[in-house]
Amino acid sequence: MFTFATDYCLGVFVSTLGILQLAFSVGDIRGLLLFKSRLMARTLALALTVAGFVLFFSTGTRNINDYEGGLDAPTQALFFFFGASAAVVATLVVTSIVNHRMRGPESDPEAGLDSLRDTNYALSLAHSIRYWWKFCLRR
Amino acid sequence: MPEALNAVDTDLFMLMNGFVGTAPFIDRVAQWVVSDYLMPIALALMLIFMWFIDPDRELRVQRQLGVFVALASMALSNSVVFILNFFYFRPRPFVDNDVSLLFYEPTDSSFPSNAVAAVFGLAFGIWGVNRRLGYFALAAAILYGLARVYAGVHYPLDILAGAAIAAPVTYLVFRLRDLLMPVLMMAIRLARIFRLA
Repeated sequence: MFTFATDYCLGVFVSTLGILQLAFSVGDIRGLLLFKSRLMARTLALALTVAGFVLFFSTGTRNINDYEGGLDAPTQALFFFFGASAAVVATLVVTSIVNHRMRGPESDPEAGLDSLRDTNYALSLAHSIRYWWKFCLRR
Repeated sequence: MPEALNAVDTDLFMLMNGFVGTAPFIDRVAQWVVSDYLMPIALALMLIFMWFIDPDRELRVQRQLGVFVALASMALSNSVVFILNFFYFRPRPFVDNDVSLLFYEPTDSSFPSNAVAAVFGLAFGIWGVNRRLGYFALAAAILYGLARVYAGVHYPLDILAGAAIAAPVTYLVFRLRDLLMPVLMMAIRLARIFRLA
């Protein structure tokens, strides 16, 4: 479809979107889920995970040596990082919009992912940053 | 490598690779499995999955530390193979035998398998902190190893050696984890501030 590296990144991006939704559903991190229904969330997750692989493997020859257009191990690791990071950022942004009504109580600043059970990501991040900013100013 | 061992290894390889062409569907699947991308991506996705799945915070920290261990053991296993290749070079099976090749022709040493050592490094790392997910990871790594023999890229002994390198390396990384604990915990705490751990 595109260049080998772009196809790879795109495949990783889509599959990571899926695996994240599956992990958030299993981990009960509702603030990062696109669908509240467990069945819907997991169906979407599995579909996206498989779609990433299908997208990559069905759009060209993939058994290519690195000096003939494939990716060597360090480059593959780097592009995996790019694709997966983009998927994490996309999930955080989209779920913050979709779950904008989730405004749980301000939680423990060390709560991390646990704070996202009742609160959307943007709000939870704002609480956290505000706390740590004040904490730094106090010092 | 001893002559007798080499002969048995080659016979076993010829036996497995001899099935190529008998079932086109299996050949097609083997081409996907043996690819440099399918299993490494699948195992890396398992690491992402493992990072987030535990509702219990203490357990989640243990699994998140396991992600670091898995990545370190993959990198270290790769490094050990890299160093070994300076001292011993074994030509690929297709160089000396009449092989049905389902993969491109790699030019690096066949023994030990670099890709298999890396994949087993990840799989053992996952298994060390999450048995259920670890069995899936190990199954994926074994399938990857078998597919590489079937596809004509490695001898069976290359695969065994790759896995045999990854196992003690992962054990060693688990033992050394405590030394790096302050740095790893700092990384997890930082991720927690950004609500990502």
